[in-house]
Amino acid sequence: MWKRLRLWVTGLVSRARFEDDLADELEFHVQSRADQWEEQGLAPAEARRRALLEFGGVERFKEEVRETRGIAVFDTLGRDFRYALRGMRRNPSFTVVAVLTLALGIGANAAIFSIVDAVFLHPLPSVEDPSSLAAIYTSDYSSTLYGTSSYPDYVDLRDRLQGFSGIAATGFSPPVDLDTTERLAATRVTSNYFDVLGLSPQEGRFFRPEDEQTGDSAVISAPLWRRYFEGDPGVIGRTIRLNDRPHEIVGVAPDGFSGARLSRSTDIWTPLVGDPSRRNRRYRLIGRLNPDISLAEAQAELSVMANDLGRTYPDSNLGTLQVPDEPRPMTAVPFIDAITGNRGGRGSMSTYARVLFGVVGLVLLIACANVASLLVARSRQQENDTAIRFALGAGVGRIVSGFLVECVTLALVGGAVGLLLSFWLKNAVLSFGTFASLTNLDVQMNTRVLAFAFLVSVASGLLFAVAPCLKAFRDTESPPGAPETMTRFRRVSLANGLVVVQVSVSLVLVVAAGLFVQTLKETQRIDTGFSLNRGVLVPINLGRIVDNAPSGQAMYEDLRQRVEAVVGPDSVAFSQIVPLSGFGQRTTISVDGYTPVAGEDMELNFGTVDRNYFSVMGIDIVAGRSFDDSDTSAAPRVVIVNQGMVSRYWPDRNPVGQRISRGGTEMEVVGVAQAGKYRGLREDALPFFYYPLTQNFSPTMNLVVKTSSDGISHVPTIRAIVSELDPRIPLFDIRTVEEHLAAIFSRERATAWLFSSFGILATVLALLGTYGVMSFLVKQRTREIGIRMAVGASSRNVLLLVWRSGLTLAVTGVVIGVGLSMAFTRLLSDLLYGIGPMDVPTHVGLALALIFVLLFACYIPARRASAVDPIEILRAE
Amino acid sequence: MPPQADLLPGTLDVLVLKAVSLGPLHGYGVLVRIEQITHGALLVQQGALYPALFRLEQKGLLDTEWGVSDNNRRAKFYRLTPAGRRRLQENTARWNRLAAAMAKALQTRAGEV
Repeated sequence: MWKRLRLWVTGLVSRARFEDDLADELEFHVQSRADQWEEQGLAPAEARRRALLEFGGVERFKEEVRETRGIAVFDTLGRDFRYALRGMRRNPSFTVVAVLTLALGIGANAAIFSIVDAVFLHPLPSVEDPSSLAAIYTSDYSSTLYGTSSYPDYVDLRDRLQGFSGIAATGFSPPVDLDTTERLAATRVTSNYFDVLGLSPQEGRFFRPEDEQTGDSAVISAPLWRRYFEGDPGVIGRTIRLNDRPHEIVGVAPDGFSGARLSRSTDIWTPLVGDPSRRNRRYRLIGRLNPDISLAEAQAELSVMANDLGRTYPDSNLGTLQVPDEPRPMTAVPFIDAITGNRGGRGSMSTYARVLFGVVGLVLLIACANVASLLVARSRQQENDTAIRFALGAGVGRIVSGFLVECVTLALVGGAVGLLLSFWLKNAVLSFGTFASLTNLDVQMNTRVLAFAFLVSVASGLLFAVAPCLKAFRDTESPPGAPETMTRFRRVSLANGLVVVQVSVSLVLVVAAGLFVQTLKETQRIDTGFSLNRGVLVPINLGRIVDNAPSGQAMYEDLRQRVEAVVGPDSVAFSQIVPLSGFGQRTTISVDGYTPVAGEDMELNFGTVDRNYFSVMGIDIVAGRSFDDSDTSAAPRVVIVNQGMVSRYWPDRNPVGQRISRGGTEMEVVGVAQAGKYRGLREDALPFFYYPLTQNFSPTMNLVVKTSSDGISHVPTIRAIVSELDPRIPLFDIRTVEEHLAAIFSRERATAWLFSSFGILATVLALLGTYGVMSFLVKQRTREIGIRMAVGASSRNVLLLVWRSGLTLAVTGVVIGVGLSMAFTRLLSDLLYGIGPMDVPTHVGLALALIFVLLFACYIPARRASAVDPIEILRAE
Repeated sequence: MPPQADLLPGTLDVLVLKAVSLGPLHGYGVLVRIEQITHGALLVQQGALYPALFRLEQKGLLDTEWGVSDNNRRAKFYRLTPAGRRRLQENTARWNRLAAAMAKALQTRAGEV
């Protein structure tokens, strides 16, 4: 056996030597025989001829020997490959069309795969073994199981859990100003954070436990190091000012690491100084599982801990909405799922990715059907080739494998072009839609993507080879010189089948596109609850400038007057939170005269606004009044509630004059505002209340300016006014109201755009495919048409005849397509809004539209068929 | 020349092994030797020898070596390996058993059944 292997390998390696030896050996044989004949008296030439004859065909036995050696396979492969390439060059128009079609399909798949690879399969490439990391959550009271945790809880978990080799905590940090010149994204982390992630600093060191005491050191990211500090190793030990506080740089993070979240990249890390209250849950926890522990085992231990904490600290760790007497559950989730929003198994990002993958898979299917029908149409010439080769002794296997090689070669060329296309496609998909929010993502064309493209190309080649191979196989079975009608029949039925496939699959994509377009329309109809559509939004931070409420309020007032002097009266408002920016605050209240149902969540969303807010934003006050000058800091506390709150707590009473309290402070309801959307566009109706700024000072507010013309033209002026007021006020993240609104809808718009493009692409491919096949079918039936016309059919009859056959095909395809789309669109339900995936009008309407479009595609060939001159046809026979 | 018969499939291998067992030979020599030992009674397709030789070499029943022939030409010589020798013995025994059984069967007279 080893001998066999060795011979095979040497046979591969020294092909030339082998051929020489073989030739020598056979030559020796023939010559020896010839010598013998010469001895018997024959002339040398005659002797040699005899010897050769007796030998029985040198070439043939050489070939047999080669086949015995088993290297014949590569030989034939190589030959088939070169033949395929030659064939492609001979038919340039066919090749170009086929290659482009395949490039589109394969390129789209490669692009989506590269994104899926970077987001789901190998996120966080610089982190060691991300699959053994887990995120740990503490349950909120009612809103989510996956909430943040408190610092004392974190310390207990870190010290006592055996299943984790280390647990670190990270805390939110607002952007920091670096030396007042740059704004950086920052994260606060515990000293073991980098350790848990398995990272080593490329300069300096990471944090030590001592650093957590003072919190005045910093670790910078590699991109920041190179960009701002020019990669200078001397940066270690340097002091920088973050938000005007000195920090010492102690280390530089390794290349390729900008934080462990996909949605946000971090430029700088500072030590976390933990909030000692167990009631304040502000931190995200990340832990590394011990090598032999499974997640389930770690979760079990975590749950025991959670119960323990609940019993020991009932004030903070006991009670949830579902079960007020139970300790708050703590959950561990695989970190990769956590960062892709896939907690508990359902995440819209993974649904989105899955749907995208499905869509491009279908596009590729259509492309393959397209190419297959091109091949079938071209196969008349091929039939002769096949017949000849078969007659010459080629086995059926050889012929079929020849086709396979040809198809796979075509697919590989298409795949190569597709890879080029996928660069562009990948960028397009990334800049739109859900993935645009993942700013800390680096999608590369790495080996995995290349391997994927290669595999998909080969698979596609094999797939669209099925039709012509089947045909070739059946052609070899029929006797040589089979009647034309038999082979033609095969061609026709294959072509018909392919059209049906293309049409049905495109319908699925078209319907999906239709559903997304309608989702977009529905979301655009959502009532946001405010009417402001032109203006400027400026985040104001007085934190470093004022240290008491009165001076802060005075500053806001000053700013208002300055802006109104330029823009106009009643154009300025202040709000702590900009609606629909994804942020929100919640607090627990109690309502006078209202007894909550057992376990009802009394934690509500709220915001602090000034008295002009409602008029500037265009929010109706439907009862009572807005905030006004009487609501000073000395006056009784007031709030304005929204309609959602009214219907929940005072459904049959006048809400004005009612009282609510929070943390012991009582407040009177003085007005009711129109309901709206506060955090996100697709949220359910939320109850919401407002505090007046005059009674609730905050150093961070958003300046909202309403303008009569485009907001963008006012930005420089407003910027100038703010710096004039006080140059220390940081001016970042200024945006116009138009931009803000556009961003909100951008995701919806992008998804609709993306799927519409695929839908259109699919339709175009199907159209081309149908048109091509119809033309081809008409050519097949030329003789039949000629005869029909000769015996009296009018051109109109012929037109209708051909048209009708096309219609049958189209209808069959569409009917099958409707069934398929009903099945496929079910997967989209998570992503849709305001419309169900089985929406009958959409499915049926688009099906009819597709039939109409296809009818048109069939018309031209039908027309051509009817213009045939019967005399010419019959004469040609 | 006595009446000639076509080779039954598979018998060529055995003949080659037998021929080589009598001493190392090059391909042409094997042909000559087979003609000798069968006294020309079996027809051997000359070219078919070579695929057979290579097959036997692959199976490890023959060893090869390039050498020089009687008339000073370069030729490839084949020799039996121990495995080849064993295979030859097995096949010979089998043939003999088969031949004996066939002969007995074909000698049966009418009354002996």
